[in-house]
Amino acid sequence: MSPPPQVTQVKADKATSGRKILLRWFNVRPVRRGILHRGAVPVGDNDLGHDGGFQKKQANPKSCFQNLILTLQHYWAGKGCAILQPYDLEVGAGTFHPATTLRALGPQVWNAAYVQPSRRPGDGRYGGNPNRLQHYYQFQVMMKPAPANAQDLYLGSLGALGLDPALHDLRFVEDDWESPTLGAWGLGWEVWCDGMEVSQFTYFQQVGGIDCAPVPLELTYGLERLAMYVQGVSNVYELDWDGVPTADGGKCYGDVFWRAEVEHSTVNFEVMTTDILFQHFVDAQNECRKILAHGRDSGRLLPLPAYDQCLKASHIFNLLDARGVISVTERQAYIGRVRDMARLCCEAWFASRTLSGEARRG
Amino acid sequence: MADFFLELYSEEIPARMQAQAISDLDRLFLKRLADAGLTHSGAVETFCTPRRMALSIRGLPDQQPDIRKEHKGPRVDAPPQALEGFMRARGLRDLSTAQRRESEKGAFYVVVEDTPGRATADILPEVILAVLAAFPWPKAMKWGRSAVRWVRPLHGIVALWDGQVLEGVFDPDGHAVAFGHQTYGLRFPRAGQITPDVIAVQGVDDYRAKMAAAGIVLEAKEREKFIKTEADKLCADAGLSLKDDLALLQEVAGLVECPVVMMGAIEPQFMDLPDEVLSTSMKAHQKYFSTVDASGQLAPRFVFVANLRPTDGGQAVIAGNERVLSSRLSDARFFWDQDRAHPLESRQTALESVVFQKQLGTMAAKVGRMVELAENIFVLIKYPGSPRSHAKTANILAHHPDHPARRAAELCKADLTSGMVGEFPELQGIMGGYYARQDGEDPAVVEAIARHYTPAGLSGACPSAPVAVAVALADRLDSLVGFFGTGQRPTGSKDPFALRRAALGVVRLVMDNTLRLDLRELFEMAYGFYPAGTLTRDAADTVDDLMAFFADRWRERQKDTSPIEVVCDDGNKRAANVGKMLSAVRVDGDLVRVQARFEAVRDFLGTAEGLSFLDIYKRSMNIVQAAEQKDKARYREGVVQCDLLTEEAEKALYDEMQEAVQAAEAHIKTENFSGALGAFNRVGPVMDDFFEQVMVNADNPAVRANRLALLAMVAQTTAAIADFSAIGIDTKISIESGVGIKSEIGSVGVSTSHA
Repeated sequence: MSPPPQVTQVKADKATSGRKILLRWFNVRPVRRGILHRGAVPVGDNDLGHDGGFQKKQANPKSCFQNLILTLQHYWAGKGCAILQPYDLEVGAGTFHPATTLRALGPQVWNAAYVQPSRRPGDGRYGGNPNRLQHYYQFQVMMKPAPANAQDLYLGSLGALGLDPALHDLRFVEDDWESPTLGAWGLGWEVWCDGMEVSQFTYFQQVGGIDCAPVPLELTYGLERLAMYVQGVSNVYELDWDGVPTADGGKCYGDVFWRAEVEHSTVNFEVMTTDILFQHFVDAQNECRKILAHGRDSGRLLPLPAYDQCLKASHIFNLLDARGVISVTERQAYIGRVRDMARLCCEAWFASRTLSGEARRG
Repeated sequence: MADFFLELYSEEIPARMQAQAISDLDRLFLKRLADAGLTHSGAVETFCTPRRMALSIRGLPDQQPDIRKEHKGPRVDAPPQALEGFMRARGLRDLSTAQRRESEKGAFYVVVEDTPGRATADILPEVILAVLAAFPWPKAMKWGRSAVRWVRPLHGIVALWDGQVLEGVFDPDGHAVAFGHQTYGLRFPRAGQITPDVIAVQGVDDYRAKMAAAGIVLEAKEREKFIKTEADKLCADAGLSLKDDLALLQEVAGLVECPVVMMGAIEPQFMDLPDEVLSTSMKAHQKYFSTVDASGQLAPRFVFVANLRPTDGGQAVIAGNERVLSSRLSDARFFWDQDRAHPLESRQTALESVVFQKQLGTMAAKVGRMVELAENIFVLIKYPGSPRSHAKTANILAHHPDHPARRAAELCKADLTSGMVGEFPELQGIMGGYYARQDGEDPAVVEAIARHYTPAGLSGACPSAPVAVAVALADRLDSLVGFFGTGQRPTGSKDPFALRRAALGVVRLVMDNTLRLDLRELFEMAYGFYPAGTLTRDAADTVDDLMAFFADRWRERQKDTSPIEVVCDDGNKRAANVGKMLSAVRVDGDLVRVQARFEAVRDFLGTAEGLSFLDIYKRSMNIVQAAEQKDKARYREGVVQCDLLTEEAEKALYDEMQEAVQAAEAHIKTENFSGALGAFNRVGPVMDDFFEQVMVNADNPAVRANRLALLAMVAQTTAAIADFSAIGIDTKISIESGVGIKSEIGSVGVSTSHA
C-alpha cells in the first residue's frame, strides 16, 4: 500500500457533486483553480459546423450509444420501473433528480428508471480530454424498497447489454457513498466488469439526515464509459451514437457533443458574469426559503418547487466554483448553504409523505 | 457429543472487513457457548469468502450440565413471619418440600432447586441470533424492509446441529431468513447458467467437499497462497518476476471466491510513464500486480485475479482488463503531457487558492513559512555546532543566497495543483520531483521535492541529503507547530491531521541522520514564522506540549528498534522503564543525546556495576524521598555545608561523593554517560560505613538536612542522565524469583521496600 496522503493533501471535495467517486472519468472532481489548460483544441479552429473531426470506428445498431439507453430502459421497464425522462434542470448527478433524492424518503413504494444528463462545469476540458466531459449521461434506477434479488436484477441488465457472464469477470467492490450536500449516505459497491467500473450500486441509508425506511436501491450506470467498454473505444468522442454508418449520415459522440463541450467550457470558464451568478445564487436561496415558509404557513407543504431552487443554487455554485471566484473560506460556507436548503426540502418532502393521504394509501 | 455448523450467505462483504469479521464470529460464539456452560472438545474452524462466513465447532455436549442451587432458609424454630417470608420468596405453599438440615447452630430449612441442563439444540439458535444481533461490523446497513442490520443483505443461514437443521429465523419482522441446510455456489457456475447451483449441506466435511467441487476456495490464506503460486508461475513462464505486495495480495484474496490468476500486457506506448504512475494506476485503481524483468525494471506485463473460469479461457477478460488499463494510462498520459507543458514554478501562484487548513491559511502561506524554516534548518544541519544566533544564520545565508533548500521548499508543494496529483493524490512529491527534473532544477532540489513526504512511518526509507532533510523537517515542524499552536492537537484515537506520523517523521529524520538539533529551538523557530495572530496559544505552551508529544513518539520508536529489557550478569532480566526516563526529553530537545543517555543507562544496568550503582542510588534516595514526603520539603537540591559535617563517616562519604561528582560531571560533558554512572561505584563501601555509624535523622534539623543533601548528591548529579527513581526494577523480587519482570512502559516502579 502506498502511504496515506499527509495533511497537505488536497482533498477532492465531494460536497458539490453528491457522489463520492462517480464513475471517475466523467466525474465529480472539482476543478482546481488556475490550472486549467485548454486541452487539445487548436486556437482559431472554431469554424462554423466543425464538430471536432471525430470518426466512429464502426457502426453497430446493437452496441451504439442510443441502443444502450434503449436497452436499459426496456430492461428496467420490464422489471416494473416507471421510465421517467431527464429532469429539466442542470444537476451534477442523476442522484439529484427528485425521483431519487426525494423519492428515497417516505414509506411509499417507488420504482423508476431514467437517463439524466449530468453537468460538471469544472470537468470541462474544451473537448480536449478523451475521458472527461462537463456534460455526460448517467442511467439511474431507483427501487424502494430494494428488491431482495437486487444484485441478480442488476446482473441481468448487463446480460441484456450483451455482456455474457460466462466470459466476463463481474465483481462487487466495496464503495460507500456519502453526500455532505444532501446529508445522505449509503453502503454498496462499485461494480466491475473485467476491471472496469461500470456502475455504482448503493443501498441508501439516509437522505437529508432522515433514515430511509424502507431502504431504496440506487443504481447508477456511467453510460459513456459503459459504451466505451462495449464498443472498445478509447476516446469518448469516437463512440458510435446511432449505429448508422458515417457515410449514411450516422453520428458519433463527437458529432453530437464535441462542439457543446468546447462552447460550454469557454463560457463556464471565461464568459459567465460572475456577479450575476452570485446574485442568482442568493435569489435561488431566497426563493427556496420563501417557498418552504409559504408551504409551512399555509399548511400545504411545497417541497418540490423548493427543491428546484436548491438544484439551481447547487448548479450556480458549481459554475462559480469552476470559475475560481469562490475563495477557500467561502467555499465551505456555500456548500453549507446548499446543504441547508437540501435538508429543509427533504424534511418538507418527508413530512408531506407521512402526513398526507398518500401515506395512508402507501 | 455432536458437531455444529453455521454458514452465513450474503452479498459481497468488503474485503477489508473479512478477517476481523471471521475472528469476531469465532470469538463471540465461543464466548456465548461458554456462558451457557457448553465447551467443545473438538476442533473449531472458520471460513470466509466475499459471500459467506462459516463456522464449524466439533464436539459440543448434547446438553448443558444440570445446575443445582441450594437456598438456605431460617431455623426451623424461627418465628412464623420469618418462615412465611421464606415460603413467599421461594414460592412454596408449605414447608413439606423443603429439607431440614442439621448444623452446629441448629436445624434449618433448605430448599434445593435442580435446573436440568437445556438441550444444546435449543440453545444454539438463541446463540446464533444473539451473535448476529450484536455483531460488531465497522459499518452495517438495512436493506429493503429489513428490521435488522448486517454488513450487506444477508440471504441465507445454514445452521446444522448433528447434521440436522436448527430451528430459527433471522429478521422475523423483515425478510425472515429461516435457518436451513441449503447454500449456493458461484453466481455463474457454468456457461449458459446465470443462477447459482443450490448446494445441500450436511456438515462441515460435506461443505468443504461441495464447495471445493464448486470451485470455491473457502479459506483466505489458501486463496492467498494459490494466487501467489499461480502468479509466480505465470511470471516465471514470461521470464519475469512478480513485484510482491502482501497488502494487495490480501485485498485481492478478499475479492474473489474462485481465484483465477491471469496476465495482461501493458501497451508499449505507456512504458515511458514514471514507474510510480504505472504502478499506482495498476494497484490503487485496478488492484493489479506489477511485474519486473531480470534487471529489476518494471515490465510491460501485469497480473490480476478474476473470479471465474471463463469459457473462452480468459481471452475476453484479459482483453477487457488490458483495455481498462490502457484507458487509465492514457488518462494518466494526458495529465503527464499537460503537466509538463508548464514549468513547476508556474504552479506556485495556484497554491494561493489551495487551503492548507482553515485556521492556518493557504498552502502558499505554508510554503512561505517553509522556505524560511527550511533554510534555517539547512544551515543548522550544514554547520553543526556553529553558534546558533540569528546573526550568524543570517550571515551564512547571505553568503549562500540561492542555496538549494530555499528553492526546494519553494517548489515542493507546487505539484499539488498538477493534473496528475489531482488524479493520484498518493503521487504528491514524487510527481513534483519528475517535473522539477524536467525543468532542469538542481538534483538536490529534485530529490528534496520528491522525498519530502518521507519517511511515512516507522519503517520505510528516510531521506539523508541535507536539503531533503531540511525540507522534510520544515514541512512537518510547520504543521506540528501550527496545529498545536491553534489547540488542534490529536486526542485519543483522533488524529485527523496525521500529526503523530508527522512527529514520528521528525524523530526519524533527526535520529536516522544523527542530527544534533534542539527540538525546542526548532519549534520556537517554526512558531516565529507564523504571522502574529495566527496562532492562538503562546509559544511557551505550544513548545511544552510538543516536547511532551515528542517524548511519546521517541518512545514509540524505541519500542520499534531497541529492546527495553536488559539482562543482568546474574542472568535475570530487568526492564528499564524507558517511559519514565523520558521525562528527560522534555528538558533535552537533542534527541541524539537523549538516545545516547538511554542506551548508556540500558547497557550500564546490565552490568554488575550497574546493579551496585542502583543499590547505592536506592539506599540513599529512599531515605531522602521518605524524608521529603514526611516533611513535604525538598532536600535533594540542598547544598552540603562542610562545617555541618561532624562524624568521620559522613566526612569520608562527602569526600568520596565530591570526587565522584567531579568525575561524573566531566564525563557528562563529554557525553560519556556510562562513565559518569560508574563514577559513583567507589561510594558504596563508604556509604555502608555511613549508614552503620551515622544517624541521618539527627535532632538538629540543619544537620539532618545537610545529611540528606549529602545522600542526594548521587541523584542530583545523575539527574542529567536519567531519573533513576523511575526505572522500574525491583531487584529483590527478580533475584528471588529468578523471573524477569517486564515493567509496563510508563508505570512507576520505585522499590521502596528494598533498603
